[in-house]
Amino acid sequence: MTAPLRLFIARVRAWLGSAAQDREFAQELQTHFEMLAEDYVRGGMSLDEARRQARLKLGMASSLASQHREVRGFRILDDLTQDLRFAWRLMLKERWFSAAAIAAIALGIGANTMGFTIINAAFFRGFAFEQADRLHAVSWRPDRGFRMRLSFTDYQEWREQAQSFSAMAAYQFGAINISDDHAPPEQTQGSWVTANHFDVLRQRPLLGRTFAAGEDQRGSEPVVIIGHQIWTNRFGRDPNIIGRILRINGNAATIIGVMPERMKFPEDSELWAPFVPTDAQLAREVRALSVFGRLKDGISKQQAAAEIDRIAQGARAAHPDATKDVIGGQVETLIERFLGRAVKPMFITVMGAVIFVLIIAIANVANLLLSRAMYRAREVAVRCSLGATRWRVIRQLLIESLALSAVGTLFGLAIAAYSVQVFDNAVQASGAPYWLRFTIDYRVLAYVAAIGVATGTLFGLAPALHVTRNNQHETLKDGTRGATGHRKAGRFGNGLVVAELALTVVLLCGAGLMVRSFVALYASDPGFQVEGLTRMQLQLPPSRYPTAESRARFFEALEPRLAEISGIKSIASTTSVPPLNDEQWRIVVDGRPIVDEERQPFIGTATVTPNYFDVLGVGITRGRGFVQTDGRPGSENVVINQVMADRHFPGEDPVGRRIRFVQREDEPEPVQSWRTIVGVSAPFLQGDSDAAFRTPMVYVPFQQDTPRTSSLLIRSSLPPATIMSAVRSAVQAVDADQPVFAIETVADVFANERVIYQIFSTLFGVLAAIGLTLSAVGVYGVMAYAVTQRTQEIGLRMAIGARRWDVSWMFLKRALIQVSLGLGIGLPAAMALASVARFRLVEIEPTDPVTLAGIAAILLAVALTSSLVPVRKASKVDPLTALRSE
Amino acid sequence: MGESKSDILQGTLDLMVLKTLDAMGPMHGYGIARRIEQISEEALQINQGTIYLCLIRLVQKGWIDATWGTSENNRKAKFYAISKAGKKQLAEEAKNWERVSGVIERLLDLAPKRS
Repeated sequence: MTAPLRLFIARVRAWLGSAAQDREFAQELQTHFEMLAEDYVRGGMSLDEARRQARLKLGMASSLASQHREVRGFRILDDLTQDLRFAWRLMLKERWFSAAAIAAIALGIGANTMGFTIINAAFFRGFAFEQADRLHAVSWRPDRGFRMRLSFTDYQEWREQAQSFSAMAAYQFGAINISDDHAPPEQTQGSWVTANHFDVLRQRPLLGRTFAAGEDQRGSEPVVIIGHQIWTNRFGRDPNIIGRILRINGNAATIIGVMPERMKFPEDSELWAPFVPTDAQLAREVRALSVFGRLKDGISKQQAAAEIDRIAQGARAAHPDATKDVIGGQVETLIERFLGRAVKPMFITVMGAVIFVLIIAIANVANLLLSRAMYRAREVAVRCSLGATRWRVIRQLLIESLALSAVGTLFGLAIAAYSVQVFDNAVQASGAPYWLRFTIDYRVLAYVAAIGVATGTLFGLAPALHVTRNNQHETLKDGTRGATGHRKAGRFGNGLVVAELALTVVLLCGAGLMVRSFVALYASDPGFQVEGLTRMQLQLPPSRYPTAESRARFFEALEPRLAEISGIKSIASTTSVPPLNDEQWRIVVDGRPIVDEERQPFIGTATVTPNYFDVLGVGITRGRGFVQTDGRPGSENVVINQVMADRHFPGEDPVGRRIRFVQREDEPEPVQSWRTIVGVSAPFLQGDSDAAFRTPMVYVPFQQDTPRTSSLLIRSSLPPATIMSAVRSAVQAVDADQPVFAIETVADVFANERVIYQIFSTLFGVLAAIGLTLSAVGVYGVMAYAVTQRTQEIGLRMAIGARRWDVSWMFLKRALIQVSLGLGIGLPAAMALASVARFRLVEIEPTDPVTLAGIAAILLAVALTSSLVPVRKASKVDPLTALRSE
Repeated sequence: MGESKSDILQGTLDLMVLKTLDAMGPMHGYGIARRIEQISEEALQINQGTIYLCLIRLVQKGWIDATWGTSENNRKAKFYAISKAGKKQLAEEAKNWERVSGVIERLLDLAPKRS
C-alpha cells in the first residue's frame, strides 16, 4: 500500500469514527492534565495553582479537540456536515417557502426524468441482445420511402461480399396459421428466418435448441421454434413440448425450441420457422427478405454503410433491369429500423418540452431564493464581518439550495416513477413494439442525480453570488431595504419571470398546436357509420390458395354461410377497414401523357365486395356503385372516391374514364389491364394518418383481385364474441384449418389509431399546465416581493396624493409589461421551433391564429390573476403606518 | 502563546518526537513532552497539547504505533512506540536535518562583507 493511500484510509476511518476518537483524545488529555498537575504539586504548588498552571500549559481543551479533528480527519467534511445540518433546520423553519421550492423542483425534475426515460428506452437501451448495438439492418434505399427489402439472391451475394459484418441473417415476417389435432387453428405472427437467425442475435432458447445449419435447405426436416406466448396459451407451458408436431400453414413441423418471454424479434414474432426459398423467390426482382447483421469489432456503422452502398451499386450496374426502383444500399441501427424515423421527432419534442419545464422550474426557484436572500443579507453581512470568507458563505448558501434540490429531486423521482408507469401502460396498450418498455433504470437514475445537482447549483448560484457581493458595511449600517443591490436583484428577478413566461408560451404553443391537430384529425365526421361495425381478419395461406381464382372460390363458398347467421345485418369482404388503408399503387390515367411509369403518382387502393359502401353507410355521389357482375371479364370496373376525383379529374367527369395500375415487380399476378371508372363515392376517412386519412382512393372489385389477406366488415348489433364464434364456424365449415383472428369493433380500431396522439397530446397538455403553474407562481413571487420592498414608497406616494388605483396600476403595468415581453419573445421562438420540428401539425399551420390568440389570453389571465393579491395588498397600504415603519 | 519560542517547524517537532521514542522506547504523550523540554533545557516551551496533533499525524502516517496501557501511577494512558517505517523515516530526516543545519551553519559563519 502506498503511503498517501494509507494516510487517506487512516483519515477516512478517523473521520467515520469521529465520536470515539474524540472520547479517546479527551481521555488522553485528562491523563496528561493530571500528570502535569501532579508534577507541579510535587514541585511545591498548591493544588489549585497547579491545576491553573497545568491548564495553561496544556492549552484549551475545546480548541485542541477541534485542531485534533482537523489534523486526523477532513475539515471540509466536518464543515459540510455542519452546513447540511443548518440547511436542514432552515428548511424546516421556513416550511412554506421550502414546500413551494420543493414542489417546483419536483415538478421540473419529475417531468424531466420522465422525458429522459422515454428517450432512454427508445434510443439508448434498445434491444436486449448481447452487444445489441453491433446489430444493424441492411436494406436497399428506394427512390421513394425509407427502405426496401432484399431478394434472396441479393442476400446471398451481399452476405458473401460484405467484409464489415461477421454474420448476416434474413427473415420474412408475417401472419402464419397454426393448427394441430388438439386445439382450434389460430393465426399468429411469425417469421421465416435463415438458420443462423438466433446465432447472429446471440439468443439462447428457453427450452430445446435453435436452428442448426442446413435446416433452411430444401428437403430438410421441417422444424419450428415457438414463442413464450404460444407455449403458454396453446400448450399450457408443457415442459415436454420439444418433439411435438405443429402444422404451420397446414404443413407439419417438429417443435425444436421455445424462446424466452421477452424475445419476439423481429417485429412481434411468436413463432420462427426456417426460410426455404421457392423457385419464384430466387428471382432477383422478388424482394421479400429483411436483412440484418452483426458488425465486426472495430467497424463503424459508416464504414459498413459505405461498403454496403458499394455492393449495392455493383448490383445495380450488373442488373439494371431489376434495380430500377432502388438507388443504393443502406445500413441502419436496429432502433432506427424498428422505431421508424417518424417517432423520433415526437420523442425529441417531448424531451425538449421537459427541458423547458425544468428551466422554468429553475428560474422559479432562483427567484424565490433571490427574494429570500434579500432578507438574509444582514445575516450574511454579520457572518462576513465575523471573518467568514466569501467562498465559505457561498458554499453554505449553495448547500442550502442543493439540500432543497435533493429533497425536490426525490419527490420528482417519485412523480416520474408513477407517470412512467402510466405512460408505459398506455403505450403498450397502443401496440408499441415489444422491446420498447419505459422503465427507470440505472441510466435514468444517473441522469436524475446529475440534473438534481445541476439544478441545485443553478438556482442557488445566482442569489448566492448576489448576496455576497453586497457591501456588508452598507447592509449593516442601513436598516432600510432600498439599497441598490436590491434594485439590481429586482431587475434580475424580473428577467427570470420574463424568461419563464416566454418558455411557457413556447410550451403552450406546442401543446395547443398538438391538441388542435388532434382535434382536427379525429373530431371531424369520419364520413361513415362507425357504431355497430365489427371487423375480423382472414388470411388464406398461399400453399392452399395459390391463385386469385382459388381464393374467390373460398369466398363464394363462405358467403351463403355468412348470410345465414342471424343478427348480422350485412357483411362485406375487403382489404381496407377504415380509417386504415396501407395499400398503394402507381396509376396511369388513359389519355394522359406519361414519361416514366415508375414516376407515376401513388393512389390508395382497396379491394371491396359490392356491398362495401352499403355496410359502411357511404353514399355514391356520381355514377353507380359496384354490382355483382363488376370484376368479371369484360367489366373490369372501379369506383374512385371524391378526393381522387377532385385531385386527378378537376373540372372533369371521371365516370367513363379509364385507369390502370403500374405492374409491381414483387406482384406476380398481372394488374395492368385498363379499368373503367363507373362511380365516385362520398369521401370518408381512409388512408394513413400522415395525410389525415384523406387519401385519394381507387376501389377494385373483390371478385377480380381476391386478396390473400382480407377483413370481414360486419354490421351487427351482436357483441363481438358472439359474431366471432358464429363466423368462425362458418369459415371452418368451408375449410377446417382456416382460422379467423383480430376481431375488433371499428370504434376500437379508431381508438387505437388515436391513442398515440392522445398520449402525446395529453403529455404535452400536462407539461404546459405545469409550466403555466410555475410561471404563475413566479409572477406572484416577484410581484409580492416588489410590493413588500416598496411599501414605504407606496406610503409616500399616497401621502402626496396618489390614489389607490394609481398604486395598483403601478404594479399591474409591470405585470402587463412582463406578459408582453414573454409573448414577444415566446411566440416567435415557438414559431421558429414549430417550423423546424414540423411535428405532425396536421392541417394546422404553426401560425394558427386561434391557438395563438388563446395562448395570449391564457397567459394574460394567469399573470394578472397571480398579481392580484400583491396588487390588492399594495393598494391597501396605509400611508401613515408605511412611512413610520422601518 | 510565546510564539518566538514555541512556534517550531512542524517537521522539527516530528523529528524530535521520533528521536525521543527511538531513544527512550514506548512513552505516553506527557512523557514525550517532558522529555523534549528537559533535553532542550527548558529553552523550548511548547504548548503541551500540540504534541498530540503531532502524535496523531505520525500514527496516521504509520511511523509510530499507539496502544492503551497503564502509567507508573496506575493511570490509563496511551503509549506510543516507533515503528519500522518510523525508524526508516527517522534515519532519513536526521540525515536531511544534518545536511540543512550544516548549510545554515556555514552560511552563518560567513564574515560580513565590508562595503
